[in-house]
Amino acid sequence: MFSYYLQLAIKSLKSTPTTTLLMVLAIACGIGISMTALTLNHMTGNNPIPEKSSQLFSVQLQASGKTSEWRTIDNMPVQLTYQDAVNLMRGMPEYKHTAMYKTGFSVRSLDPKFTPFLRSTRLTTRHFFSMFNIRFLHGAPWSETVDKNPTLQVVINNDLNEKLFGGGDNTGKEMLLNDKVFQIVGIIEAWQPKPKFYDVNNGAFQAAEQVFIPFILSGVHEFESWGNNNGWKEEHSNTYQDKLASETLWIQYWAELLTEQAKDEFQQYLAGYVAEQKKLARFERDDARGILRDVQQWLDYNNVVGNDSYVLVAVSFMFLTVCLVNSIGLLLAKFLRSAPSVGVRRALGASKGQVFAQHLVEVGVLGLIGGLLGLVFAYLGLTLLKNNFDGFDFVATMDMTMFFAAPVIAVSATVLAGIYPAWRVCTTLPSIYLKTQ
Amino acid sequence: MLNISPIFNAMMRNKSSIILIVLQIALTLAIVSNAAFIIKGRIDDMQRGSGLAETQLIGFHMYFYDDAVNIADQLLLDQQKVLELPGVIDATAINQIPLSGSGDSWTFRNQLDSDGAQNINAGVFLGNYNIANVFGHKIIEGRNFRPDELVIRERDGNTPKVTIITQALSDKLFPEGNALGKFIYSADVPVQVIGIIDKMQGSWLHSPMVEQTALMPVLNVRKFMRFIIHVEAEQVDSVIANVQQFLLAQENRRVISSAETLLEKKKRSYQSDKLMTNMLIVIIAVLIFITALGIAGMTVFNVNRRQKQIGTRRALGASRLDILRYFMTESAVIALIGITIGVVLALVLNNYLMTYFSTSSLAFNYIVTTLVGIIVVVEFAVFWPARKASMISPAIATRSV
Repeated sequence: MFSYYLQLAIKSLKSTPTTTLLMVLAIACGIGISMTALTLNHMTGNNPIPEKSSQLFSVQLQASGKTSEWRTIDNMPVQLTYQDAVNLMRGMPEYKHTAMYKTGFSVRSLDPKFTPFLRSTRLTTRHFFSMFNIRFLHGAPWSETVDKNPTLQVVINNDLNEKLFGGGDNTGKEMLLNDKVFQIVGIIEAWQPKPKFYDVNNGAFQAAEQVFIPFILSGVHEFESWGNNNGWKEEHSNTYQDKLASETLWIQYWAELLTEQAKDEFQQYLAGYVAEQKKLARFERDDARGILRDVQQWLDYNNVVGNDSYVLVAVSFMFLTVCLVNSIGLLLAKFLRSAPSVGVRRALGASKGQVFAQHLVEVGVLGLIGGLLGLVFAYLGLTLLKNNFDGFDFVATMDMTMFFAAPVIAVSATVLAGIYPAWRVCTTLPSIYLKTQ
Repeated sequence: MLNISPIFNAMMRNKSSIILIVLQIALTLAIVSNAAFIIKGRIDDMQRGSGLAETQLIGFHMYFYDDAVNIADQLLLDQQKVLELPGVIDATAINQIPLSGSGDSWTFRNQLDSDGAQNINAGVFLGNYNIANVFGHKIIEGRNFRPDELVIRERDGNTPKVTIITQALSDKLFPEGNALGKFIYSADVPVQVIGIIDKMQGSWLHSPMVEQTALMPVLNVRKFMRFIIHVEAEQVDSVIANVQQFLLAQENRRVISSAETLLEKKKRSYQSDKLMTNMLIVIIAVLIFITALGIAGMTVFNVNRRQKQIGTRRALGASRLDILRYFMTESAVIALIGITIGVVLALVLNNYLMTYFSTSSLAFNYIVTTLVGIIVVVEFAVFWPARKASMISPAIATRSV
């Protein structure tokens, strides 16, 4: 029966080529534009580490001045001071948690003829790698001793490994960061979480660092922050050591808390720290507190996707609605025009259900063609975006979810839209049309 | 005269397709007016003048990795040396590049005592004493910096003494005017306003403080420096191509990024706005096209369906113009109903956008313009099918189908 309906549908669509073309184009445009907007939204809203999203927490402290204002919804700063970060790292050794910040170096191999280039670099502790599930191709993170005793050791990613040495296991070799010789202890995969969730404050879609060195080196070698530094207090901060002791906020902090209990304990730990700092009169706000946010909450909190993206999705789906309303109108007109022949079929014994099913199949075929064409439009749209805008390589790419979602949305939306015209035509009394014949 | 009542009767016999067209017109009005409003806002933003010769100013950054290099001396030397390149007008090392999206801002007070003071944020550009010349600014009040006012600031906390500020910053700090000669305070450090320039956008184009800018004659010595060169228009490309190698030849213990014009930086900063306007323009264009085609298509169907009735009317003495007028009036009535609902929808949509995405309130003239546009498009779309209807011969009425 289905294949017969399919034949009928194709015959019917062919009999009114202009209307069919109009409907297919309307559906295709609607699907094309809404899928383009939805893909941008979906990919910017991507969870980069779904397997651990609810176990990794960004740590925030309300450590700013009484009247300080921040752009966040709860008026909390998103970064920590150096002293708070260092203090927090001292406790809770049973859980992995680490401070981090971005700096940068001119990078060279020891070959004097090598032309140096700039690479941003992250100072952090060895926990960073296991917390964020980063795979080592060679070697391992630096040891716990190195986190406590400043040692010039470095972990690099494989892209940099290839650029410096042409690839291979180069652990144990040395390289230059500025004028300091670092020993390579590990080489990680070309890791690039998108969005760069662990430091969205400094550009959510920036490239991940390719160089990682121990956090403790910052106090000794005075590596400048290459990220945002937010000050709220009037204090003279000329030297680097001044900055370390200041209330300037510039450190990111993450904790891995695998269980609910661990999260509670860490929350307690933060509360205890805040109480202690309040007693020392360092934290001056009444609402001084520590807050944990998991990866998804953190991305939402920082509005990584952006308002524009949601506005575009809303507008493009309204646009899709217009396209569908348009198609319903045309379908209705088309179906009603074929009512006389439907009347004959009904008189010859076709049931309402059969007429209904037959017309729905026709609508489905229309939706499928429109949806597939819409997918092509969306692909063209995304390619245009990628070619005309920097940094859209990742965002303007359909992943599998989107690729399958698009035709499903197209067909179901069209079929939904086709129910009314199909119902109208199948409930028409056959006698009326038989009379006028 | 227009015979609304028979038209209305006819419409009531064919409710569902009328409702669909009404709905389509209403949604189109809501979407187009809101989208046009958003587009206009973004385009206005993008077209604001920066107060800078964007195509003739080139910027790049450099990073000194070797502690053995005396960075301050090298930068002062570079500023002289780079004038040897053909086409270079002026140059300075600087702490941030305007329009680039990254930089430094300071908070200034208009009095020493923090109680009762105005706290105003401003982008602060630290460069050589010629910094205002490099940007090509005209000092509209006061004077330019003197060479002896240059402060070399390493990690020693040397503070600037004088500043030139934009009119916008002056208005914020001293709403009553007369900023010239007054002191502004960064924490407790007093800086005297010695000059005022008309306009200069800072680094963050999406910030409300974008035009609050201060220039200071301070060489803020860091490993990571930026550099701005003002170039004659026809030599821009050649300077961009050569400056990196030229400076490396002076001192190679540094990494220098490739240079680009401020226009390039500006384009990148406005990229998301460009994306938004492009997407919305495509949506509006396709939407109007589809609505017009849809309405035309529906009218064609209606004309075909009513062929016999039209023939009868013609046979009974209706002129071609009467038929044409009938369909034009019918579509105008439908458009008016659609528009009435559409205006409400447009305001609801705008309200939603305002609540959730803090956009501004829709100006009514966007609705009116869209409304007029929609009537024109609808009448235009209906004209051809209606004309076809008016061509129907009265003889049709006498013929059996």
